Amino acid sequence: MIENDLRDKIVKAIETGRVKMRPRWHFVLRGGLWFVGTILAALTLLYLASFIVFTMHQSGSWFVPGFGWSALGVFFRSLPFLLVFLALLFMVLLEVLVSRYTFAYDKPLLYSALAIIVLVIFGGLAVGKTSLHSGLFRQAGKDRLPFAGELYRGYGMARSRELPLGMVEEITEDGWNVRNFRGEIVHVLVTPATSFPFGEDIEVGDTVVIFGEPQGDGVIKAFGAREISEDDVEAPPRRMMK
Amino acid sequence: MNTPLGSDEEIARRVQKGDAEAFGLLVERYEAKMLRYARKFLFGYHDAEDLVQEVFLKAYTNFQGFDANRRFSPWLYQIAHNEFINAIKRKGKEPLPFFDPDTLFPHPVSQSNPQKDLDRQETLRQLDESLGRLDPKYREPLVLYYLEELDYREISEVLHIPVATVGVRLLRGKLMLKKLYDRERPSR
Repeated sequence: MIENDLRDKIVKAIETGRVKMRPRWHFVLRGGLWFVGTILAALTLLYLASFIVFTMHQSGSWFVPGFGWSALGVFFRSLPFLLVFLALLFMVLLEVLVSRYTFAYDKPLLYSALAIIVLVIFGGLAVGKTSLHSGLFRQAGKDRLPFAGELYRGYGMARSRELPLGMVEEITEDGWNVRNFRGEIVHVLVTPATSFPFGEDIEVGDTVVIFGEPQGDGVIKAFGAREISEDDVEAPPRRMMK
Repeated sequence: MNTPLGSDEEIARRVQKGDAEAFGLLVERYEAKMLRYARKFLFGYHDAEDLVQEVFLKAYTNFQGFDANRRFSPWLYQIAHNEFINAIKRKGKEPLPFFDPDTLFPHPVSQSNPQKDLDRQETLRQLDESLGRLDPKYREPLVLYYLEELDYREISEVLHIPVATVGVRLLRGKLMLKKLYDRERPSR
């Protein structure tokens, strides 16, 4: 009979040592590695999400939605796409890693995906509020960050020509002169069409974000302007400015 | 399974301590079930015996990975499921979806009890005659539910899909099965 044959064959294979049981530590190690991998993927995702928040503050794109629908194009053009792509990749990786656990796979995928999205949004915002990235950016500016220095110098100084950000140095007849974080002076043309979604009370010394159309020769025609807090952006160390 | 020789989980603990004969007991208990599962799920594949042997050998190799505080049968069925799915992939005779959209959203599907299922006998008859023409995605939960008598949660563990998706696949599988059965027997 097939059934008896099968049992005998298997027991014989075990007794002759042809088939061996993997030791317990193999499974403990595998489970541990999977757990560590899941935690590392979650932490990397949290780091990436908060770094995206930091770079969006630095480039000014974080403040663009306040200018309304017309600024949506500029908002998308100024997004750090490589970082967003990497974050999406890590979201998929985390979903794959988490789906090994019963609490994830016995419920619809939507739930674990939503949990990951919540982690990215709220975790990213929470870590973005801390001084982690601004501190690392300062260290990078002083060449004291050997591994991620270039990353922070590159993304921390990223600027869109349509979104100058800096400090008002002078109020002129037709607008303001703003010194950006590269140390350059940008002349902002303020017209009756310029919108001030958060108030028009802009003075010398204020930190501002401009949304507008570059006119060449360091001049930009402002469609919108808003004051932001100095704490919202991290000014680069002097040695990083031109 | 509980017998005078002990439950599956008690025998499993003996196997984990190195008792090869105890593993033979588990093979005896499950060989008929595994062969039926293989023959029904791998309809027309002709190598069910070899695959079942492979399932038991893999189970033994990975036995220290079994948590004896949990039920043994879903763990064994899960190994069998992986082995059978690999066999289907190797042969390439039937398409297997890379991603099932049914696992994405919640489905309000009631969980029925196999004992109270009024059309159980009818479904079993349909399974017997038309199972081979059903998509593997629907064939497998039907086999596990109606023939192997696993409940929704156990099938969810075996297939690594949400419990609600098990309900959806069973419901759709039954409807497809009925259609196939009626088409083949128009006089009924």
